[in-house]
Amino acid sequence: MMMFYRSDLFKKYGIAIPKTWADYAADAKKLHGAHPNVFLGTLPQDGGTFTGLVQQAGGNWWSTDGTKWTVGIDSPASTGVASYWQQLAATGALYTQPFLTPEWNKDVAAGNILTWSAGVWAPGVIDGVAAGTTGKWAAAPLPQWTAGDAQVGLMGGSSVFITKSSKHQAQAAQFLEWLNGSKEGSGDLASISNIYPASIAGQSALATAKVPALMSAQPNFYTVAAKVAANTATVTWGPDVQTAFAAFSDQLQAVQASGGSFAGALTTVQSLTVADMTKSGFTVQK
Amino acid sequence: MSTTASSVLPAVVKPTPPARRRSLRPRFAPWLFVTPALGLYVAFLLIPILYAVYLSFTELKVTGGGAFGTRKQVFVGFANYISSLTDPELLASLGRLAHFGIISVPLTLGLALTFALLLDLPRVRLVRFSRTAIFLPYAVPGVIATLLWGFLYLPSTSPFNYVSRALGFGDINFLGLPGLYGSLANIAIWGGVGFNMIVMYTALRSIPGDIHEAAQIDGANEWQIALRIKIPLMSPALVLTFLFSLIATLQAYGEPQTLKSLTSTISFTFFPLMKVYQDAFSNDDLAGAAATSVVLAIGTLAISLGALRLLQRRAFGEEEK
Repeated sequence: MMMFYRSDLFKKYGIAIPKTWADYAADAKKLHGAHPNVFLGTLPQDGGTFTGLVQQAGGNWWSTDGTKWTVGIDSPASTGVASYWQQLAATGALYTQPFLTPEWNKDVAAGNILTWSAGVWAPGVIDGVAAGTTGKWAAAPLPQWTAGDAQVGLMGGSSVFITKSSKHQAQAAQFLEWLNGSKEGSGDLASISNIYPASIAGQSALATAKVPALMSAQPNFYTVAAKVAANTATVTWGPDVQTAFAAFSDQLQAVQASGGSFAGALTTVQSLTVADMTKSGFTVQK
Repeated sequence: MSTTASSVLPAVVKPTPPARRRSLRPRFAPWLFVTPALGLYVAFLLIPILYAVYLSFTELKVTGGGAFGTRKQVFVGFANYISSLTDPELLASLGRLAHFGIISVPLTLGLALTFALLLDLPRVRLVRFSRTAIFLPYAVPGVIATLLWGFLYLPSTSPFNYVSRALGFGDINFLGLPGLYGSLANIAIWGGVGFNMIVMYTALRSIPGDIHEAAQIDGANEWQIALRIKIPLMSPALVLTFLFSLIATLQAYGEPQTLKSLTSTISFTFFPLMKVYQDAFSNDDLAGAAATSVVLAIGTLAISLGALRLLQRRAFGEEEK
């Protein structure tokens, strides 16, 4: 995950790139206070963004030792991140519509939302919804909890695998190596599919590639991305990610309507996810 | 022989063999004509329903121990039904559905009845234009209608909000609770009035004109004719449209699912069918979804039969006499 921001608007409103989440909160409140129609960023209301932020804080929603699963949706790291965002949202300094809804798209295109914390694949998406902002964006490392840290989490992602029944397993493996690790392969992944390769060879091969049109104001975008990617936290995904993410969105929405705490919502999501895993037959550690 | 004699005699004499052939043909021809429809029904309705019922008694369970087992289909009896019936989310979604139905069904039928009665008045103008105009929304596919209304509801694109802001009243909250139920119902009403109106209008048209004239001679005005004569005589059509609306409401899916992309107020399990979809394709719990859909189908059947039995005596009783 990186923080994509409008470099032109940061200059216009006199904002320095926040290095810590405390800076981010302060900047958000100051900006919104001075300009009521402008927001520094959006409240994360989807599982994908939120888990990425939790991973940065050192938490993991799922972990396993090979036989049992442990679900950490209401772990201290997770609830800590939730409390931070709930407090910031309560001040009114955050945009509260979920991202990639028509309203959000319109406000990004109009320059009323200045940052989007998302994966390295974000430029293609922003281009799709706010085509008029080409050349006005730049990417910076995500703010950290402690100044000087460099850890980040993953938002979304894709994986490659070869099925047992494949008749060309060796060839498939060769192809996947080329696709992710070579200059042409990773270049195509980045330019055509907007996918940032996980292989380090692929990432360094992009250093000389052309940056996405949206990021034309930052010619060293891929070098910045590679440096950020070098500090990715270890991530484990569980067997029912969709269930947990849907429950997270619904519970967060319910809690926002009823005025409860985000941490309480996470506890509900935890029990729903554990129940679903137990029903499927997995062994979940209490 | 004269032609009359020859035409009479054979008619009397022509007995058994052709009669046997004539009685065989009617037995095969209807079945032949029905076969394509029957085939489609069996293939696309009966077999999937039976398969869903079969699925609802099974479950995919992880076997082989460890954290990453493979899943095998096992027979679990009524476990899916029990967990479906005791799921608080299903009850909550039914409650929301009821809230939606209470608004949409009476308004749809009431408006349809009003329009049908108005169009049936003796000296009404622009009948064909009005009929087409009222029926047209029904022809708009559900998803398109929902997107259309969705953008009429969104604060930044809504003309209603534009006017209300210009008048100084601020934004009308179409897409937040509790206005959301009215907004969803509005989409259903807008699309449903046309069809129901046509059914009721057809029933009205089949009422013999003599009754109408007799009432007018007796001095009844149009109001009294409508209330005392037309509505009672078209009660089978009213019962029919009521049942259709009831069943359609219980299966409401397209409107909230499409509107979900425009507002975060609609959860993944807002209505029962959305919960079935969520279970089947998001939670990968096809068996549980099958059980929930069987429960919903049985419930719909029970409600329809109950409503029919209740209204039968009032609507159809006079005809049976």
